[in-house]
Amino acid sequence: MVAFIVRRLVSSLFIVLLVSMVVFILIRMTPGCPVSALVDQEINSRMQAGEVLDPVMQQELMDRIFAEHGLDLPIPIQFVNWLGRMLRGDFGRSMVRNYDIRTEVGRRMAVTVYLGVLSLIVTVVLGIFLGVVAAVRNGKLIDSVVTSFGNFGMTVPAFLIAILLVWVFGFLLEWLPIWGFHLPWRGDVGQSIRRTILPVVTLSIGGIGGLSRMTRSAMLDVLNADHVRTAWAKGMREKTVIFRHVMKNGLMPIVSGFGGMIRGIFGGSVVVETIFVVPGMGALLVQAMQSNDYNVVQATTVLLTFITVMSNLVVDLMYVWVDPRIQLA
Amino acid sequence: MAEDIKTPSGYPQDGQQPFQVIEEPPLPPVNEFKRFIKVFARRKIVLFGLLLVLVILVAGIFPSQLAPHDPYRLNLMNNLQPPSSTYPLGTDELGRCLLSRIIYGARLALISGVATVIISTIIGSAIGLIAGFSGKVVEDIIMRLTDAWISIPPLVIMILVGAIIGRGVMGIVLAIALGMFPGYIRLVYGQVMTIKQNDYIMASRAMGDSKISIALKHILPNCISPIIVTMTMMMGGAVMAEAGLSFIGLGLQPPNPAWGTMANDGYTQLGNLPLLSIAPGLAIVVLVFGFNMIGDGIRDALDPKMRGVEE
Repeated sequence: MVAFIVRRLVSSLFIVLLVSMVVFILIRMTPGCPVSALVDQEINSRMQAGEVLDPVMQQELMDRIFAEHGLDLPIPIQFVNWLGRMLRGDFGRSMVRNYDIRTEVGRRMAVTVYLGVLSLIVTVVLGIFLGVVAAVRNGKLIDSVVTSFGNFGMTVPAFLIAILLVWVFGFLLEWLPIWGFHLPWRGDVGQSIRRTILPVVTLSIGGIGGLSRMTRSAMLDVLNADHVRTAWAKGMREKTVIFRHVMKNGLMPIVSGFGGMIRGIFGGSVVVETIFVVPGMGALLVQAMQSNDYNVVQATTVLLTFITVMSNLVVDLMYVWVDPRIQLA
Repeated sequence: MAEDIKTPSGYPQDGQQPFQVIEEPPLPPVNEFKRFIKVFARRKIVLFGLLLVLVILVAGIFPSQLAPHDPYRLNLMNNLQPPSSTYPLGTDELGRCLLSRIIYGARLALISGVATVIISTIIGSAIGLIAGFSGKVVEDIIMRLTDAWISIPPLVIMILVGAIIGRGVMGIVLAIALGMFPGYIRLVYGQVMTIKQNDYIMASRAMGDSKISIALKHILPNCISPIIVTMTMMMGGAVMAEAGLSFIGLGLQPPNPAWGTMANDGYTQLGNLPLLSIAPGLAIVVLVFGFNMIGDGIRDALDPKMRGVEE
């Protein structure tokens, strides 16, 4: 067990390293440069101050700003430098907006993780509950309602769900605020909760749809098994049969969907944070990508990849917990 | 000497039948194609989905005949009109006819669904086959790289690749394909690993067939069915991915009438003209739903367990 975890941790770190290398190169291949705007700015302000800048001086200025950001070095050396700083916990500064990335990312990560964990809880509780109900009442009205809802959640893109929610609850009913977010311990708690509802619902609906479908079919498979029929025949109560005999075996496929769910919620946070103007990691990623902010893109991707890899590891450990027959290899 | 060899006494001689052969009436030949159609069309909702996709396909092929107006012509005097007889869905902020733009967007949506899936299938299957058929070293390298690629949030790949190639139709198609293809590597690799265990592969090897001919003659045909099922299932996902990218402004660039971009443009007017963002969004839902239903139908029709279902 310990050996397995250690081995997986090592390979996870290797994956994160590989990914950061790929992103490091790819982001430098994109057209447009994060500091050229800075150069233009500098030149303009100096020209306005009455300074005369000939092309040679402009070039010198550009070289100096490039050198300040370490962009004049060969890419492999840039990467090693970046890696060395990152391992010491220094993600550098934003090249475009000049904030300290570690503080900014820390603040935003708290927001995204807060919303993500809430959505994950809502998704798991409601998804499994609806799936179990649909399976137990197979063929009844509630089953078709849950199944259609599942299809809805998997067909409707997150942004349309958000748009519809904003339209209904923000404009028609005027119940909930349609943008902005702050953590409950950073200001008015009531307002924070009201601002949390729409983003969390948007993030959860797709997952609830998928999870309830998965749970339903997993439960249906188990419901027809011999040991369940025996349990019924012994005269056990419905609750005991469902929870002790069906759920335990039906959990397996659900666990396998868990990794995808976590990834889905983090992927969805990009759209949700853009629509609801939430200051989280997803919004930061889009912003950094749009302005080609190398350091910020690098930091956000590495963190997101790290989360993905770690959640995969957790999922694998959960397999063993759910089904002790599985051997960790 | 030959006469000395006797047939064992227990065996029947002189052309007697060793045991009674019961003549079974031959099974009627099954027309695979007909069976496929029959199972596919078994569920009404699948046919409905097919119909939706066909409608969008027609819109995608003949947009200029169907659209009431020019989707690109700006008309600032007539902007933000509510639906009327001239503009069935109203006009956007720049006075362009919303319905015409949705109709012109159909082609982009179809391309982003179909082309991405085809490209990622081809790349993914080829790599998966290679991984399943090469030595331990190559196999390990490919599969570990696949693990790494899958761990990058797909959105990051799509945005980066889109930025590098350019956010035209081709660029976005490639970007989404590169975000999706590792799934196919795993799928095909898994299939190869399972099929390789079969005795007929061993027989083929014993007869001296080369690896490549085994891969093409035996393995690939056995992978086709799960590949097709996954492809149709992924088309809806690809359309959604393109719409999401366009929605956050990192997909197809204006003036391309991408449904996601339109939904985002209309969002600022949600309070007074909700249709501007909801209508393009619904168009995406319709297409995704259609693709998913077709996928369900094809999965059932290719599922060996569904053979003989005649209802």
